[in-house]
Amino acid sequence: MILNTSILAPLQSRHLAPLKTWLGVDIGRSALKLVEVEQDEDRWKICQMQYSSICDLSLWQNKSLSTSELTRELSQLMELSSGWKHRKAAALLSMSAADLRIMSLPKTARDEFEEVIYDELVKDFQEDVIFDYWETEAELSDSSNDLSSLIVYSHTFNNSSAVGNSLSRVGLNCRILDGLPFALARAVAMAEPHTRHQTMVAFDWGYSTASITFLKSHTPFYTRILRGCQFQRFLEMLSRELDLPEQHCWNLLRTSFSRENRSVDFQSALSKRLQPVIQDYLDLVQKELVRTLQYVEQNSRLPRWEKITVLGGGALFPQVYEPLEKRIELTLKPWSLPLAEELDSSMHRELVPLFGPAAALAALSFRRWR
Amino acid sequence: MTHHLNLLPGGFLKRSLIQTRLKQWGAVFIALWGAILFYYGAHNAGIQREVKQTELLKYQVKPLLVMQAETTEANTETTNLRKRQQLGVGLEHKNIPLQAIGKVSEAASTQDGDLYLTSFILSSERQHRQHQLNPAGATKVADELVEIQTELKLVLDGMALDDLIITAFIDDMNETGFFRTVELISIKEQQVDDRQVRIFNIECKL
Repeated sequence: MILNTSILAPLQSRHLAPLKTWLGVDIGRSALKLVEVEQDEDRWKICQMQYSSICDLSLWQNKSLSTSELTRELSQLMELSSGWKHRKAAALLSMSAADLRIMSLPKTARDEFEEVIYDELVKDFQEDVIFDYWETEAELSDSSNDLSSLIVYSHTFNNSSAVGNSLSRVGLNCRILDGLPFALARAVAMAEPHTRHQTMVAFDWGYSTASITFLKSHTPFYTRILRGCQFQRFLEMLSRELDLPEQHCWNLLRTSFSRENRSVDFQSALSKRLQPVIQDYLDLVQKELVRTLQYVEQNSRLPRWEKITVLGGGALFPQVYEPLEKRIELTLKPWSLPLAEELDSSMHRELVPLFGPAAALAALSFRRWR
Repeated sequence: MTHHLNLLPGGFLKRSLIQTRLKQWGAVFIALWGAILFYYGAHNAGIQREVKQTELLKYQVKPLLVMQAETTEANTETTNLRKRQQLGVGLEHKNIPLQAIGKVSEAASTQDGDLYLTSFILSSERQHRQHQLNPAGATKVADELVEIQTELKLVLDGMALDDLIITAFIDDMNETGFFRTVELISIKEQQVDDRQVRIFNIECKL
């Protein structure tokens, strides 16, 4: 005790801490995100973050991840920050490469459960898979006394191996390959630790998948993918409207929608051009979102949620999520976490909502989450 | 309560576990080696220190031991001389001390009846001894002192069954410490009744 509290205290806090904390590696469809977090008296802080756009790369071939491309990209990102080699890491793969399904199975031994799940997944994927599962809340499940309702989250074996191998090749020791619902749950808990007894809703407005997760006691209660609502859909619509490649549309949005940039005239002219596209896209999102909210409201006894925490690309543009707030009559709050002093710039602050899941992965080094 | 999923293939988890265990055991091994080396270093220094101290003590004690041995030897010699002197005084007065006779008969009796003394003669002869006082003086004529001394000796005649018994008897006589020298002067074989025996003559100088 004395050793821990007094003699080794300076070592633990300054020198040993970087060895103990993990790196969070979020492998999305459009970007790679690496984050390191630290906890200071129950307050989480992002101490290092790196982002790399991978839209134009052949990292993803349909749903398969390329080990060599991922290794190359990770290696370049790792070189941008010091002290990231030889560290433990937790990773997350894009939800678009994952399969999330609810399965009702007869109540039997765990081994038999897993065999049935594996057989069914292999039949669908037509290749080897790796899966994990958890039981649904009784109030939302269709299970009877003889049936268990399970939420099964799976990846193909090749994709899981690609992540493990790539991280290993760049000198990271990958310990966990997490699923998005749990990463979102932890991200919300990190940002708002005092909301444990409230119903929290996390909306991951990602490039390839938009998903919504309801949290009860900071654990996933119900997750649904909002079909056709991914941010890429919006970029496609913009691309058609402006006759520009998707990447250019993204860059245009990033520069033009920044609150402090451009003149009022330019903003109004652009808004006039973009408004119809935004309206069309928001119609889709609103429809799916409201449908899901109503389903959970009607089928569960969860206390009413007050707001929705938004993560991912959609959370970067107030011009997109603010109109949606009015439509669904709920506050949409972009996910955020304080930044370490050396990172605290407006450029980094604007990107923070993209790093929610990655930060939640990095937080897995803390025993509380394991 | 589950806080995360894990979809990493089992091989990575095993590898990671092995790496962790190897690191842990490596740390334990290094610590153990460190402890052994530290212990050896500390202990070795102590041993070397003790060896040096022992050698120093040996060096300091050596003259004392030599002196002790010399003292013991001198004491033994003094005791023997005193015994001889007593015997000599007794003999000069034609009064052989009972102690000497007792010792001789004791030595003879240890031979289990295989040795018999037939005569016990005390004799004395005067001798002249020269003492050179200045042995290094080449140019000077050395001063010489002539001392006249009376040498007493005890002559024993007897018979024994074999040579070994006689030798053992001489050893026993030497051990009494009364005599300066015990010498076998003569030995011959003789038929006594139906037995071959050794007839001997021993001279004990006092």
